[in-house]
Amino acid sequence: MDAKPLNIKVRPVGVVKMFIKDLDVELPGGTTVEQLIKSLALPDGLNIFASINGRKEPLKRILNDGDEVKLISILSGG
Amino acid sequence: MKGNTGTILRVDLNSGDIHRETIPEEWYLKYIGGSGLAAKYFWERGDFDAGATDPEAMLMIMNGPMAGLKMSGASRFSIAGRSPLTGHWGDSSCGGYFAPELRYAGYDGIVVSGRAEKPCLLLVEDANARLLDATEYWGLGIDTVHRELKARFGPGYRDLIIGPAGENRVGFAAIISENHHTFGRAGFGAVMGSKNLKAVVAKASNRKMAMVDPEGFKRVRREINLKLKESITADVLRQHGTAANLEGSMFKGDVPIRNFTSNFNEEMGGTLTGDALTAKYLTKKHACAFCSVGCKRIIEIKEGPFHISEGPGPEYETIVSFGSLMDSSDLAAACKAGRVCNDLGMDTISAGSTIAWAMEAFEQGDLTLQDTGGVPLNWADLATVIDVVLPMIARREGRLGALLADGSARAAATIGKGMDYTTHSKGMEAPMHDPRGGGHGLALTYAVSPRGACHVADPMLFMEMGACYWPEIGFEYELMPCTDENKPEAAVVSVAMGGIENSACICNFVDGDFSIPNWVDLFNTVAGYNWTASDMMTAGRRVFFIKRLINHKYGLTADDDRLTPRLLEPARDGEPEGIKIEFDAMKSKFYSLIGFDETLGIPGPESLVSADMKEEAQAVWTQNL
Repeated sequence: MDAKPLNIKVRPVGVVKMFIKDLDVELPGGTTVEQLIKSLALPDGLNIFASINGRKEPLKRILNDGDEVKLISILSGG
Repeated sequence: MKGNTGTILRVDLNSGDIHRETIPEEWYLKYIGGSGLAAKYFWERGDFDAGATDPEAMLMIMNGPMAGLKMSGASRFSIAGRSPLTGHWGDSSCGGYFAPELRYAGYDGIVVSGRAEKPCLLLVEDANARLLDATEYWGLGIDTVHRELKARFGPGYRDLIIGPAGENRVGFAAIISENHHTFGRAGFGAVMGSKNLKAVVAKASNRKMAMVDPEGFKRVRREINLKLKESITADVLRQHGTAANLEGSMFKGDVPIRNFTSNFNEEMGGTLTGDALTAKYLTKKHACAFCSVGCKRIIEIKEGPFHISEGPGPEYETIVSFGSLMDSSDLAAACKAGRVCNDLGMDTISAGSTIAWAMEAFEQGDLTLQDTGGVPLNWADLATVIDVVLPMIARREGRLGALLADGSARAAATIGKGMDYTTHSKGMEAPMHDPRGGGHGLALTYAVSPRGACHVADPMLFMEMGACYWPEIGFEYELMPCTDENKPEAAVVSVAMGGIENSACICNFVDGDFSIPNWVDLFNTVAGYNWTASDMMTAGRRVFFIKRLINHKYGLTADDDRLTPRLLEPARDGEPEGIKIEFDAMKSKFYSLIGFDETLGIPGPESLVSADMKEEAQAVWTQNL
């Protein structure tokens, strides 16, 4: 794993805002979106997906320094 | 049998006769209640030659076996019959407080036929039911009539009321209960209006209901309550209502914009979303009877062009229908439009979709000022929509009101233009979940839904969120929104679960947390159906089948199981990027899996017999079974 730390902007969207605020975090190099979400201890029921720098990305995606990560729940209303 | 009363109230408005009718126990065991029981009743007793607003047409108000239970999500009920909007089978579901009251009064439902000579209301007080003159209420909005009925009878009397739209037989006229809870879809307000029935009012003198195993029921309820207490979905709905995650849904491509030409606008999502509604306008949270979720909103807009007094607030569907669908990010305007629709008595989905279609037609020149009688129909011009267009539709006033009052499909047919950019299936406008981004399975279930495009006919919307896990019936797929993978298989399960949900009349914001054993235990402890999970799934499938057979008698075929081109073409800005819905392949596989005839679009003889529908099979298939 790359030892160089990453500065990541975490931006909750919609109902994810009920659980976390905007965060600027420092993470170890090689961290994936999935690992970021796990570190935030968000409830499983939110079924999170991510948009990174304006593009939907898979949860296995490895983060890059300076990424803005929007965390979004798949939940829909009716 | 308990849970159900076994009795409905039969009302003939031609003669004024009102009597009790006993429903065969077998019908409950096979079709559960709610819209399933209504479909069976209609299959046996309905006049298939009657138009939806003819006197002979039946208006069926039907509870499920859970009505009256002191349990979250159990206060819903169904209304059903021939839809004035689509011309074939229609049903609609509503929560609130009426269903328990009717159950305690001793009835599983009310079936109304005939036409009263003058406006009337039906008053049900336990065993006493009578018709009263309602001339003084005719022409009035629902808010006023609701207040007058409360003042006249008392706060414990629960109501169903139509507005001017129902009186004028608007194709998507709604019936509103307690001035808040809505039978929106399929236009049954017009059926009430055609019968000169302005309102139904019910009051029971007791709060008792018999069930087979009260202690067993309490055990199931305790388990469900614990789940609801820990449920993220319930918490989210409680905090910010059904639009809670509108902003997030925008990223999913679930939220239609500008008549489904787009499904992504980040700023619009942030402006219209549920937490914005909470922050700006919420004054109170509100719940249906006995519900711990409480997703309903009470709002007030104190100032500005769209100010409204404290009262019922909009659902997600209303916010999108009168927001992004019309290319507007004005939340106050959407709230006001919803309030106006409620008072006039119109379904916000079909009203919003029909107007959004007309806005696109106006932009393209398919509708001109001459066609609209001089009314401009510009994107995001909600002031004109609220002040001019909605009242014209409700009263069928002028060229524009007459054109739009029967929905977008008939309007497009009338002008001979714009059918490609209508957004319906079987004549009913699609709800505010874009199947291209929200989920390809929705495209399939919109198309095969007996009543037309619908997100609550079955739970596919929730299944594609990954919210459903039912290993007891073999459903263990992890569905992803923007693919066709496993969607036909999921749809086979979904239509059966939809049959169960809409016949038991349980709210889909609550029952997502039910396990299959929870469902089975509820039916068995409350109503004594003595089902296994397999029995229950067969009953759900049977409900789906009989609605399809009714549509067959109305002349629908497999060709009617389709979506308009707009709902399948790629969104111009939004999701999915370059992913096409393989609709025909999904439909073909679904037909094969569920045993449908590929031309007629109904279950084949073997499928019907396997669902214990031999008599129905003989009625529609000529061969000797």
